[in-house]
Order: sequence, then C-alpha cells, then structure tokens
Amino acid sequence: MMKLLITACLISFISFCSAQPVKKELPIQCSGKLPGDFTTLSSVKSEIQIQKEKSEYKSSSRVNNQKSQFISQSNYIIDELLLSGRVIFNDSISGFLSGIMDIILADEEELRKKIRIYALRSNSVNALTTNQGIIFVTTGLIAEVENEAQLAFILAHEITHYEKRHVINSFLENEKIFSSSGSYRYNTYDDRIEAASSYSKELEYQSDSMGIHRIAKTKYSLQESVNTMDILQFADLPFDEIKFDPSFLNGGDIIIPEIFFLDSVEPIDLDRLENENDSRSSHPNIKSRRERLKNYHQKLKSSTATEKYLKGKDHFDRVQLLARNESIRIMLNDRRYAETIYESLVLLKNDSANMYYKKAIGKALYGAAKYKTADDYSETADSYGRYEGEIQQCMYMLKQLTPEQINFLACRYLYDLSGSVNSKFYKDIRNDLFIDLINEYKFNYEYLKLKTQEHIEKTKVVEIHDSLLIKDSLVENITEEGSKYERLRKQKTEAVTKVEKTTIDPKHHEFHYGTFSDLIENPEFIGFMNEMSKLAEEEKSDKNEKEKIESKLTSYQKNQKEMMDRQKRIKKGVSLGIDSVIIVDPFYFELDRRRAIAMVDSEKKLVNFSVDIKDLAQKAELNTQIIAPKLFTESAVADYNNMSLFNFWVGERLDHENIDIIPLESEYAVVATDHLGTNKIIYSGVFSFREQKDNIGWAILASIVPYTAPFGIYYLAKPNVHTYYYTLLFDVETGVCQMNETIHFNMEDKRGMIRSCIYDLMLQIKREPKLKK
Amino acid sequence: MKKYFSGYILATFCFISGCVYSQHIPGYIGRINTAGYSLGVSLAGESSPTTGVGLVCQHQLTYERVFSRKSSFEANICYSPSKYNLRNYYFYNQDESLPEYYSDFSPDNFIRTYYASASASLKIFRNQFIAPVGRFIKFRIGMFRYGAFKWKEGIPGTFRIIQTSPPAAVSREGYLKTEKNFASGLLFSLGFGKVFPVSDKLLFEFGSNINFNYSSDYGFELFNRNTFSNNIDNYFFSNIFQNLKYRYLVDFQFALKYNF
Repeated sequence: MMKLLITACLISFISFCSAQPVKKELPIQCSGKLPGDFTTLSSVKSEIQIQKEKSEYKSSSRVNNQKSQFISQSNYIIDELLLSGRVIFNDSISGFLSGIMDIILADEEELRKKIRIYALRSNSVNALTTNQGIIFVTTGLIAEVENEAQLAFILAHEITHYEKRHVINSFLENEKIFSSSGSYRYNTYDDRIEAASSYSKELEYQSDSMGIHRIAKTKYSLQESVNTMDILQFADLPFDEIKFDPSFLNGGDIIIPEIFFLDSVEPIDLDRLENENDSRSSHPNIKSRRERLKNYHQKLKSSTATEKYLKGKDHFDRVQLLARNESIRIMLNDRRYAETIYESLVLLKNDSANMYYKKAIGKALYGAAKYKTADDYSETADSYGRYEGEIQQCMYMLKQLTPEQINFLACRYLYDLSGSVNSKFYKDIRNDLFIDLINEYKFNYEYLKLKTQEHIEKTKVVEIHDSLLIKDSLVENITEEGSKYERLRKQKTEAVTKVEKTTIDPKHHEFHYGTFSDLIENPEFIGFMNEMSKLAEEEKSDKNEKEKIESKLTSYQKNQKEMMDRQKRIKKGVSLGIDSVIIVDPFYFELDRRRAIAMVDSEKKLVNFSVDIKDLAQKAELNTQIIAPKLFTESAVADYNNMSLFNFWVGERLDHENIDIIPLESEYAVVATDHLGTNKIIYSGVFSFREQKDNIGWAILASIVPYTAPFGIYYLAKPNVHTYYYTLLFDVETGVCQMNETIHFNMEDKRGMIRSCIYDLMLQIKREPKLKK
Repeated sequence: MKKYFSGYILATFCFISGCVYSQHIPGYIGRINTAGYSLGVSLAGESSPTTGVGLVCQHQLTYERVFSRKSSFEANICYSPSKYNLRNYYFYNQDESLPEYYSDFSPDNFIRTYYASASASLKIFRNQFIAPVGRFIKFRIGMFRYGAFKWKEGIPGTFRIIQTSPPAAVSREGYLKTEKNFASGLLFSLGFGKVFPVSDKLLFEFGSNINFNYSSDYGFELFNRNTFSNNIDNYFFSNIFQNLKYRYLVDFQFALKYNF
C-alpha cells in the first residue's frame, strides 16, 4: 500500500513537472475567454445594431439607409481590426484601462456596461471609439502618458464620443455636407471640407468639455487633463530625451570616432503644432484645446483633487513598461532600427540590466547590418534631418557607418549577447552576420587577425572619443527632475556647442578593426570562427554552384530557362514534401466597383473559404492546423495569441521582400510553432473584384449585327470579374518563402474553382520531391 | 463496323489508363474520373419539315480521365437522330396501278436519319486551372457513321425523283432499291469550353466544337464501297449525306458529369 502511494505521488510529481511549460519571453498575451466582439460575425452584429437603431432612433427612410450602410461598413472594418491580432484583451494593460474606466463611470453603471475597452498594439499615440461601444487605446499612447490621471482624461474624452454618438452623427453630417443637401447645397468643395472640419472640431470640444467634467467627479487631478495636450504635442518624440551614448558598441578596444556624430543636434521645437492651422483638420489645434481645457479647469475650481494615481503608481509604471516594451517590438517590426536603439537606450537608463532592451539593440543592429549589406539601408530610416533632439545622433551614426563597419560592430555585440542569452534565435542571427563577415567582407579568421594586429600596432595609444568628453550644453541642461515636457521647456533657450572635427572620410576609417582585439587570441573565439568559416564555406559553395551555372548562360538563355522553369512549374507544380503546416488567418475580399465592398458576401465567403481549407487539407492528407479568426469560439484564446505572433511575423517578413534576413519576430513566432509542432505557416487568400465594362456601346452595336452578334452577346453577358487566389508558405525559423503562388482567373470566384486550387496546392505541399539520380 | 468501334474505344481506354499516375494528379479534389451525359445542339438545314432549318440534338455519353494537372482524355460515344426534309423533292411513282403524282413519300414528308460517332479527345486546360475543371481546349479524333432508316418501307414499286429546289431544273430518273444506307468516315474536331464544379461530385460543362467529318460523297469508301448500287441512290444519298456532314460542323455542348 505504501509503495503504491509513493509511486502515485512520484507519478503525480513527475507529471506536474512535465506539465510546466518552458517559459519563454513573449509579447503581451491575451488570456481567459475570447470576448463576444471577437466571436460574432460582423453581419450578425450589424443586423442586431440596425434593428436597435431603427427602434430607438426614428429617422426618414433615406437616413435609415445611410445608417444601415454605416453600421455594416463600420462593423466589417472594426472586425478586421479586432481579428488582426493587434487587439489585446484580458491582459494587464486592458485590465488596468478597465479599472480606470470603472472609476470614471462609478456612478453611471448603465453606460459602463455598454463600453468595452481594449488595448491596441500600435505606436500611434491615439485612442479611438466606435459606434458599437468599443474603445481602443494604443500601446503607443500608454507608453507616452505621464500618469494615470492623463489616461483617465483621455478615456473620459472617448466616453463622450460614444455617449453622444459622435461617430454615427459625424458620418451622417458628412453625408449631408458632401451630397450638398440642405443648407450645404450652394457650398463650394472647399467650403464643404471646412464645414466637415468645423463639425468634427465641435465634437472634439464637446468631448473635452464633458471629459473634464467627468474627471472632476473623480479624485483625479484636473491639471493633468490640461497636461494631456503635451502628449499630443510631443507625440513623435522618444520616450525621453537623453544624451546618445554609443559606448554600448565599444567592444574590444574601439571607440567610435567623432566623425560619425553631428556637431550639433536640431533643438526640439517647443511650439510645434501649437498654432497649427486646423481649418481643414478633424481636430482643433493644441493651443485652442489647451486654452479651453484651462478655462474649464478654472471654472471647476470646486474640484480640488490632485491625485495622479488612484490605482497606484507602481501599477501604472508596470503597465507603461509593458506598453513601452510593445512599442520597441513594433519599432523593430516596422524596421525602424535606429529609433529602436535610441529608445532602448532611454529605457536602459533606468534599468541597465534589462535584457529585453539589450536584445532589442542586438536585433536592431542585426537588421541595420543586413540592410547595409544589401545596400538598402535607406528603406529602414528617414533622413536624420527630419528628427529633433539627441535621437539625431543615433540616426546619423548608423547612416554614416559603412556596411563593413556596422557588420563588425553588430557581430561583436551579438557575440557578447548570445553568450549571455541562451537562445537559438540569437545564435542564429549572430551566425548569420559572421557568415556575411566571412563571405561578403572576406574576413576569415586569419585576415581578421592580421587586420586586428595592424590596428593594435597603429593605435598604441587608445583614442578617446572626444564627443563623449565634450560637454554638450544640451545634455548638461537635461535635468533629472520634473516631467519630460517640463524638462524640455527648461532647455529651450540654451545654445548648442559645436565641436571641431577631423576631416577623415568615415568610409576609410578603420576604427572597427579593433572590434575583436580582446578576443583574437581567445581559443573559444578561434574555435567559433573556424565553425563559422565552415558554415560560410557551405553557404558559399551552394551559391557558387548556382552562380556557376548561371554565368555560363547568355541573358537570352537565362530568360529561356526562367520561362521553361515557369512552364514546368505550371504544368507539374512543385513537390515540397512537407507533412504538417499551420494555416493562418485566411483572407477573402470581394469588391464590386459598381457598388461598394461586398462586405457581407466577403465575410460569408471567408467563412466558407476557411472551412474549405480545413476540409481539403484533410483530404490531401496534409496534417494541418488552421487558425481562422472567423471560426473562433470563445475558447480559442491560444489560437488568437498564436495568430497575433504569426501576423506580426509575416508583416515583417513581407516588408523585408528580397533582403536575405532572419525576421526578428522569429524569436517569438518559433515559440508558437514549437508548440504547434511545425514551423511551416501558410497565408492564403482570395481577392475578387468586379469592374464595369469599358466597351458597352460597341458590344450593343455588335450584338445587333448578325455576324458579330455572338461576340457582342457574349461580351455583354459575361461579367468582368478578376479573381486572385494566393498562397504563401514560409519557414518561420529561417524566414524562407518556400511557396509563392498566385492564380488569376478572369472569371467569378466560384467556390468550386477555388476548392480545386486549394486541393492542388495542398497536394503540392504534401508531395515528396523526386530524388535526383 | 462494330468490331472497329469497340476495338477503337478499348485501345483508347488502355492508352488513357497507361498514361495515368493517379498518385501525382490532383484531379478535382482527388477525383480523376468523370462520367456523364452531354447534350449537343447544332443548327441543321433541312431538318425541320416546315422551316427548313431546325435544331439537331446529339446525345453523348462521356468518360473522362485526368492524366496530368493540366490535361485529360475523354472517350465519347454520340448518337444523334434527325430528320431530312423532303419538301424540295417530288417523287413520281412509275407503277401504273398507283396515282401518277405521289409525293407523300413518308407520313411527315421526311426521312429519319441518324449520326453516330465514337471518339477520343485530349483536353488541355488553361494555365490557371486544374483538370478537369476550368477553361479548356479540346482536340478530338474519332469515327462517325451516318445514314437513313428504312425509308422505302411500305412503298411499293420504283420511283423517279425530281429535285425542285435549288434549282428546279435537276431531274434524275432511277430506282430506289436500298432499304438502309449509311456512310462512315473520320472525325476531327477542335473544341473549347469551361467546366464548373456544381458540387464536389457533380460537374457542369459547356462549350463548343468545330467538327470536320471527313468522308467522300458516297461515304468513307473503305467501309462503304458498294453501298449505293444505282444512280438514283447515288444522287439522292449524296445530297442527304452532304447535308448531314454540315449539320454537325459547329455544335454547342452542355454536359452534366459525375466526378469519382
């Protein structure tokens, strides 16, 4: 008996241990059940809302039609957003926002019940309200606000938009303005634009006014409502203004020379957007909004509340940190590498040991190096001249560094980072860069050693980076006290010191040869370099073989070969020999240019398409897991989280186009693929559009002439529809696109035809390739 | 003839089967065989006793087997009954015991004719489509036979035929003796069309064919050298067969097929 008990305990202990998932760092994850907003079809939601609208708000049949149109369209578009994977629910951020909402609407239970609030993964500093009662608050906004009270005012402002039906009213008013009916009949186009702007601005003032009055009923500070305008004014600035310190790149004995930095940075314009001409804008300019808010504040003197935090500063800080981490991730996803580095440095200032930001810098350096190697760096960064403040230095430095220099710096950074992070992803991107260093820049170990030793000889006395020592008045004047915006204002009048520079061309600077000076004799590094040389050799021989074959061909022969390959692919298809795939977020969009987006049809067809993919993959005996948002039930939160990871991954992958780079989102997406058992994902969809026929007159004429009648009648009867069916298959770990097929039918999107193509592609994916003799 | 037809169809089927590697072919959702009925319609002169021009139907049974992603073979047998209008002919009975003028040659003043064929087709589907659905072009080769049923049945004696139109001047005399006549030949056809799936197991096809029925005026001599034994038969059948040949020059097909 005792033995049995011990065995049972042991088994349960083992199963408990094995049940513990390996914890890997992931972006914010949703939890619990999927809310009804995500699981109800937009057509169903629209129907309910249209009925409700008709019963609660009586209007003429014309206005009712406009309302129905608006409700259908807005539901479809909002559903697209809800199911994009960018919306976060049941997590600490949206939980925090809900908590603030509870405080604001403590006395308005009915209204509170109608409003749902979700965080939205976006770096735009914004909050938006829908007619359906959903408020989205972007992580970019949460990352920028200074305290909970400011967030509360923004939510109070959005509540008014919902309560006063601003969204639908604005739509109806715009319909009236642009259809030139009523008092707008004789307006010019410019007048109409201004009328629409004026109406929209009035709604904003109303929301500000009612928002601040709602805040006055709470214990939140009213002054913070006024200060919210600072956030709008400086929304495009980094999280904070700190001196750009490039010492994080100082591996070996290098210091980046001053020629890679600007003499002075553009000072931040503190009056920006203040007096912006808002005559055609949907929002009033910041100055007038600030003035009005100040007036309301004066009038509401009875409210003496000064609380910046009701849910607690710690709680706010935690939530903001999560939002800022998300912002860093989105920046990387948007390939804004220089900004990622600067923002990470800002955040590292308060948490110097934070690995998340160090890893973000590593990823940004990897991305920048790969784009520099591909001679396409301008794709990832705007001109530094368009920025203000210290971030300019970071932008400028990355711009000035040559591909070879940045490769050296990134290699060293990732070599150090991968030593402290036990992750395959960081090893992969490190190896990728070292292989480039060997193959593209011809630095095998021996040559690297030679150059390093030469560098050591040349720089017996270590250069000191002057710009690190020179007192920059801007930096000096950045005080540690006060809010970001208060500190910015204090610096306004200070001058900027210019630094004398040497005139060496950065392109010919060889400072980077010191990058590995401390490692060059290290046996571990030597072993690593030998390993990389082997990998580089393998990659090179594969490449060379292809190049060798191609080099023997003339351009005509190359074209012929390409054409023959294409014909062969069309005739026989491909054989990928893949057993298991994940189909993510199927897409279906039908557009009838004669009417509008066929939203209801698109949704119905998307549901059918999702079902068909699932069904046909099974028929093709392809082991498939489908993550189809339109088929989500309330228990599909894991699917939603995975879809979000994959959507970010594929967004980045498609942005890279032909750049040979491991997508940075792979770090997270592989966690999902590991869990699902395959790293192959498929994105597939249908786009169908119907156009008006161009030659109707000729066709009518032809159809009454006996000999051409069949052609004329055929032209008139045949709808002018184009249907595209596409399938993309990726390997998430490497980023390689293994299948990129687009099929174009000059005919309607018949379900059977699409099913035929789906089955064929599934078979091609599954089919084992023939072994070459 | 039956031997030739059945041998031909068997050979075609064996050839198709030999070409098929079903494990590599998607077909329509894994189904590579289709069998069905096709209704063909073509415009035919002298097929209607009243108007002169009418529609002739072809009833076809088809079996199709996909043998690659873009192509399929189709075996097809066709039977098309029709009528040949006699309104342009006068028949004089030379038997003194019967009335002199006798044009009521058949109860409806027409001859029942038929057209039958057995053929094999190669269907090639356009780039974006996967056989057996989508737009295709079709090359067909086969054999046909056409003829007239026992048109002399019930009419005693011999006849003189005068063709009155066009032109009215033609006049031949002779004696109709043959009770059943037919001609055979080779069929070449070029077609195009579209196949839609109605459901996973049912396909709908429509299209058009241009058919070249090759035979001499008196039929395909290999098989029919001695079919027509006298002048009046030659003349009369020559006219009928010429007409039949052109009846099937262009046809329009509508087919419903079971996919398995």
